[in-house]
Amino acid sequence: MKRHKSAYLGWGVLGLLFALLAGCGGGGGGNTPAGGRSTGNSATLRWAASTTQADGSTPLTELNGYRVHYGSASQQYTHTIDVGNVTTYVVSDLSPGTYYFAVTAYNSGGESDFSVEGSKTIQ
Amino acid sequence: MCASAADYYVSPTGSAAWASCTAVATPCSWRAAMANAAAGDVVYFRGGVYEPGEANRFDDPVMYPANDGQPGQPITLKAYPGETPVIRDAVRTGVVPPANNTGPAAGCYLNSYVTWDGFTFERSHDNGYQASAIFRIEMSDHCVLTSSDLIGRSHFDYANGALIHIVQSSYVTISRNRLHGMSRDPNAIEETVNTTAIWSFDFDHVDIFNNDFYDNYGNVNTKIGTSQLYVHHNHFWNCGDSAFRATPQLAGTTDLFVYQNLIRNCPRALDSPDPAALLYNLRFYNNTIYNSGTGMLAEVGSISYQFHRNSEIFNNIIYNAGAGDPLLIRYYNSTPGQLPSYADYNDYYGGGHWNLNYTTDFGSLAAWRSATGLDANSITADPLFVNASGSNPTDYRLQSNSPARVGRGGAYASAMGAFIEDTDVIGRNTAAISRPAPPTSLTVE
Repeated sequence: MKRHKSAYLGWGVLGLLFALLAGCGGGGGGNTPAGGRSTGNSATLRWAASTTQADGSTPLTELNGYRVHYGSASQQYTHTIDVGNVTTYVVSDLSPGTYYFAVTAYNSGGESDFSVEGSKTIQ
Repeated sequence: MCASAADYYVSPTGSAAWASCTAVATPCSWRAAMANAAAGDVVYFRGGVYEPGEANRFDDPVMYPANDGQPGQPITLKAYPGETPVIRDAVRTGVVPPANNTGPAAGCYLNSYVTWDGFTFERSHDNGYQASAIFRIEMSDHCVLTSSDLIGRSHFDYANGALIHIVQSSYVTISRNRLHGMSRDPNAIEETVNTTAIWSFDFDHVDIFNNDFYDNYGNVNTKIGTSQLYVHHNHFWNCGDSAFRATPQLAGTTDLFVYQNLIRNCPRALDSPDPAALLYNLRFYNNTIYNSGTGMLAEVGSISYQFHRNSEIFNNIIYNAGAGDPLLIRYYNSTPGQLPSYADYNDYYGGGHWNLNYTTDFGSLAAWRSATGLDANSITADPLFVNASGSNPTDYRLQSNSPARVGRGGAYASAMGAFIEDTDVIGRNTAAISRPAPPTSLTVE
């Protein structure tokens, strides 16, 4: 075993707990991957992975991740979250209102067009 | 779980409070970003020059996040789209020798899940000091450096001056970068074989791929207690010394995989000298080595009695385009029982000689084969590159009638050289990477 962080400092379980807590500073809103905290004022997004290049036919050889975009008007996305290479994500702590969502994929060649739009009304 | 994940903005002159720099118009400083960025955050660095200031030590980076990312939620530090943040090396003042030496500006230090994406890192201040680098990954895991430009300069002083150091870390990715200009001053005060683009020791699971390495003295140099190193799909050219160098030294080194690299005009493509400890499981395969000079092309061996164990050298094209009688490959301290366990399906083309132990030259493949029992299916035919002597990686694809379209097979390719398929991307050829199609079937619940 190499002397990377936990082993080097001898943290063990304590180190893991510390990482979970101290690694999550910042405060504010609440966006989590699916499987994490999801409440009644949240929206769960699921999508199918991008498998081709922008031409729609050439197989994709590199995919670095996805971005979730949303806003309170259709096609006007005022918030963007880089969610990593996952295909499910929970946007939480949304205020009441209707939200419109789209997802893009990206790699070192650039970012895709927006996916089809989805929406959800938070009561 | 994390309470939030958001985008933040940083500029060289930014001074906003952290909570305010979620807006492009009110960026904060890099120091605020390093102190506050948390798992899932993306911190965009606006263009301009960032001077990290004085380094406390020659080995610890100045810029690294105080927090950690998490699986699927790294802390991402990246260039603002269309702009170039430039980070210069950190000056160490009041330290002798020499004056004005430098320490690493940025990197990962006691970090987990941190990604640096799209920066320019410059060794701009001085020649550097022993063990200094511009980017250092130390005691960290899942640190990624990608799509960045690392610029060195002529290195005069002590050993181990580098662009990147990887030390005591796990699961490191170095991809799609340019690493160049880390050259050795011809008047350097010692033989600095460790003046190199990447210098590393005591790590596991390091993946180095799709990078361009050029005008460096050494390039990838690993030593002392490493395992699971993957160096592949890189383009090396105009080296002062080796493209890949492994020196196990004090602790054993195991599982080094070097494959599908294009190596042009480097005196040594592979160099694994002087281990005082064992090197296990070196796989050097499907590399294209093109050299118009007269230096060594590959050298594998040990000056001790502990020759590498279970080394395999196969499916490589070693192409000599230069004049004279260069060394094609040498195994040294190589009694028959200490030769590589497998060496075959290599194409040695363009003349040159083979050597054992510095003492015995072989002028033909047949003589080499007879003496070593290796290379039974190797050839000495023109591999028929698409455009031999070209400077683009794709020039080294094989023509359809190439005699190098044979190989070891089985779990490996049935072709020699870096291009197993015409679609392989060798080097930092981002033009060959197209953006994805958008995701489909979005549902919102």
